[in-house]
Amino acid sequence: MNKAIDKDIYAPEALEIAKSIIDRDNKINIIRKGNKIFISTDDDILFKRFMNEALHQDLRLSLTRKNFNIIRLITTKAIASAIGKENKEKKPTKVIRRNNKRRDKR
Amino acid sequence: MTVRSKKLGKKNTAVKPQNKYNTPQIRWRRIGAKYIVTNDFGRYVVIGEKDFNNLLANKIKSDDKLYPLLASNGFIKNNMDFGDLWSSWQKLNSYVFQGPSLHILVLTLRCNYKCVYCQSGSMNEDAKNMDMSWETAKKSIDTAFESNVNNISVEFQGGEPLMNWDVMKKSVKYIKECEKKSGKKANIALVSNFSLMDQEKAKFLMENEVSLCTSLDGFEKLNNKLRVYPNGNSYKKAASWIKYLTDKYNSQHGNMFKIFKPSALTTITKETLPFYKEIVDEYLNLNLETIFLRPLSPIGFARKSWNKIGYNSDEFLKFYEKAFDYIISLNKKGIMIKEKMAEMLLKKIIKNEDPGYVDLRCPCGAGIGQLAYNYNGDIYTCDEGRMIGWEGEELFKIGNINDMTYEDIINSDTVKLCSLSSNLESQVMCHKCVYRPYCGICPAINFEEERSTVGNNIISERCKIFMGIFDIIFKRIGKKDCYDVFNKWLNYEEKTKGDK
Ligand code: SF4
Repeated sequence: MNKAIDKDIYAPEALEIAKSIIDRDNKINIIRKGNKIFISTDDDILFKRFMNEALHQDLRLSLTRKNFNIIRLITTKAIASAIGKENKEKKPTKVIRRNNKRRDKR
Repeated sequence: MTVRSKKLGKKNTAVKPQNKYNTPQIRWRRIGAKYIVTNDFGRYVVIGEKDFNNLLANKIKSDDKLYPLLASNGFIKNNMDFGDLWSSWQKLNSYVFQGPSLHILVLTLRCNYKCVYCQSGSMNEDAKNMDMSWETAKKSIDTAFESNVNNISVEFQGGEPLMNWDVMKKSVKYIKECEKKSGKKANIALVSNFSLMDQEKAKFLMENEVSLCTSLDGFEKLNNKLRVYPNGNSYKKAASWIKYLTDKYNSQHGNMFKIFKPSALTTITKETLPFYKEIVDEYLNLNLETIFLRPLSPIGFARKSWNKIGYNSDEFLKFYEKAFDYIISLNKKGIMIKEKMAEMLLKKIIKNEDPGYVDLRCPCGAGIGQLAYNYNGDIYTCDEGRMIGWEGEELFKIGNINDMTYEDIINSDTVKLCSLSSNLESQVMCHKCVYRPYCGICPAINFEEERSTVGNNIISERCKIFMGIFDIIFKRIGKKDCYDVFNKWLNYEEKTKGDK
């Protein structure tokens, strides 16, 4: 099965994250051809679960972008308070974002 | 008026009214004929449909009967006391302003029990290489005292921690020394099956003000079936020491030290579900005033044997509601018994205070609220993370006590990952959920359930359980007789705390 994906609905990043969560046995291929994205798999149920998760991840990513300021504020405050040296913290959010992305893809 | 995320259900919605109107951002949920409405400050009101519609339509006038209640709780935009509301938020989220207060020392992985749900990765009695050394314990305690908080709790766990008694004894004495040197206060707790307890140990623990907690899953037959003690009767061991320690607690007047009332933890399995009444009665028989009806977490051994011992959220919630109503009915007759989970949630809801429950925070307590030190010095964000590590997934391991400073621990990628993953503002369901001000998600359980620390609350059983428990509480909070019981629980706690 080879299905074209509407890029306006699913961000490529959301598809990648969904694959890392759902597809432990590597049964799904995300294929990019020019401007289009295709999902290729023989497992129909897995495909449906994957598309659900992709939608969830897409919503989550756009929500994270929208609420980023408050997320950054709370997380930075919590970590800086735990360290107890709030004024010494240098731009913790940049580190946080990079790390989160990397770990998210496990 | 803009209603967000209609697609995800009408029952549970956040609203951003147009600016010229009078309602600030609120979240709501309809339960029966009532609407629960909350805001970011952690304030709530439970109102009928007509009032709710008026609130949404900005038709609440200043001479309206409901106006003072809504205004004083931050639901009327041009009449908000920000000083009061901000202090409410700060109290409710006080953990955001301090370091980890809970420090769990896994003194050994050895255990002499074979509980059917054991989540802690325990080893048999001979595996002495699974004991924490004194050097590791000392370093762990030093780290705990570096935490940016004045009151720390050090909890000794296992396996069965009494199997490593010498290190435990030294650790308790060392904590007392550290208290004096640092000026910080340490609450020391031991979680034990009590099978190796004797009068000498009990005396030492009482004299050093260690609070003692055991596991009790109900009446004798049920407890012994779930908590298997190959060399004896696990119920008799727990019950006899609970009685002994309660007697000591009751007759402590004139002591130079405070003896704490012993407490017990229940683990609810499939086997337990029909016995909601009998379990509560058993706690009453042993003069225990608190019962903690915790759902089983699908972690470690429990996950592997889920088909045998697990249940779904509906099954758990039916059990919880029946047990909760039974507990309330006893309280109405003047018998004091509290349900711990509800008590902690009510503290958030009614008093806007943080009950110190690290599992239900935003961000969650991983690393910034608690740290778990394994027998070999490995540090984890939490005990759940340690159990997942025991199965081979070291996602929640921060490092080793020998290689890290306190600052390294908190500043680690692992702690940041958990803090970000558990922020409810990036959760599709939570950010608009009426219970968001009081709730929290668990990256460790998410990982076990869905292989992602972020999780997906649309399908999460943990979310369904918490939403159900909140519903059960809010269905009763508007009833005067129930509210009186809840208030009694919250004030009772204060009385015993100030007892010392
Ligand atoms: S986890 Fe809590 S805040 Fe999030 S949707 Fe579930 S009940 Fe609501």
